[in-house]
Amino acid sequence: MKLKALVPLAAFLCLVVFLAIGLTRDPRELPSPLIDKAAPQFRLPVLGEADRFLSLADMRGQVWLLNVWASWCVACREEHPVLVRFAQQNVVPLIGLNYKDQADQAQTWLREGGNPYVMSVMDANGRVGIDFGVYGVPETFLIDQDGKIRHKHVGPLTDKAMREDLLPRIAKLKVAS
Amino acid sequence: VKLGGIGVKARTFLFIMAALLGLNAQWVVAQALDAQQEARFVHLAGALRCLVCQNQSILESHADLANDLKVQLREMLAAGKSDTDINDYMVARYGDFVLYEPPLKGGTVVLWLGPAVLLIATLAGFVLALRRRKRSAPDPLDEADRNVARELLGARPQNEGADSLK
Repeated sequence: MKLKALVPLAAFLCLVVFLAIGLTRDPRELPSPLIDKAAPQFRLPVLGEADRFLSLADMRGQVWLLNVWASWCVACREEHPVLVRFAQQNVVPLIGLNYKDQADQAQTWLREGGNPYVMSVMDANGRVGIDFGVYGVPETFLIDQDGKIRHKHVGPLTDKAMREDLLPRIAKLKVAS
Repeated sequence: VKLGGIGVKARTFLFIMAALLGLNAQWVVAQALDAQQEARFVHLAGALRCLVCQNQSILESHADLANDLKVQLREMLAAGKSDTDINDYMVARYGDFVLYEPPLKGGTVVLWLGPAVLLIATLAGFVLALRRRKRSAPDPLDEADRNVARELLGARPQNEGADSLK
């Protein structure tokens, strides 16, 4: 009888636990269906270099990061110094996907904040962004030697996320090769 | 006040109309569709979630990405793609979350069947509780109980106090 009286309380506590867990999760972080799949093919003009193009195949054989950025993106401003510090460590090549941006504004941005990218490619109409399932700039994709997407980070990278999440993943991929 | 022949009000009106036309321009460049394709466009775009705003379909949303996806959708419709092709295209890039009606599979079974299971469980619990209540209705009083009750009620006249006990 006494135990029975506790059932509503137990049910309520159950609900509280589930709701509490729900509160700690970021609803903007969606699981990407592209993880462990081949990265979408692209061939895009390189920012600041006339007549030069980069395609997915050019990156084959190395682990690399694709960072989606734009000069109009507010959160990218916060992320930028993190990327600059990352680039100084020379771990893997960092390629920028300059998403729906103007070339001159993008170049001004890189002149002012430093250029962490080996190169940036221009996705002016956002088609490649759609192929990569980009929905919230900045986003960062970790791509392996075979051109497969192994990890995706949505939102600005922090030094902590770099250290504790991305770098260990990169190290693991490099060992595998 | 007259300015250059037309009133200020008329100029304001013309300015607003011109601005609205400018807004419409983005639809002019969008892929033209026939009536049937247009209906499919409205239907499909209404069932795709905008990933930036999350609580709007791409049809309702004016987020940049939603507009891009609408353009993409129009082009695919004009190219004669089927509804399945289009949904597959979206799911391949953004996951099931992009569909307002997610497919029934392992991860979504709870989502689809949960409410029905809950409804049935609640109804069953309700019926059981009703039955138990009927079964556990208090036994009618026998004469000994009545005597105790009368004693407790004490001084009251018998017919008045006993009335409610019958």
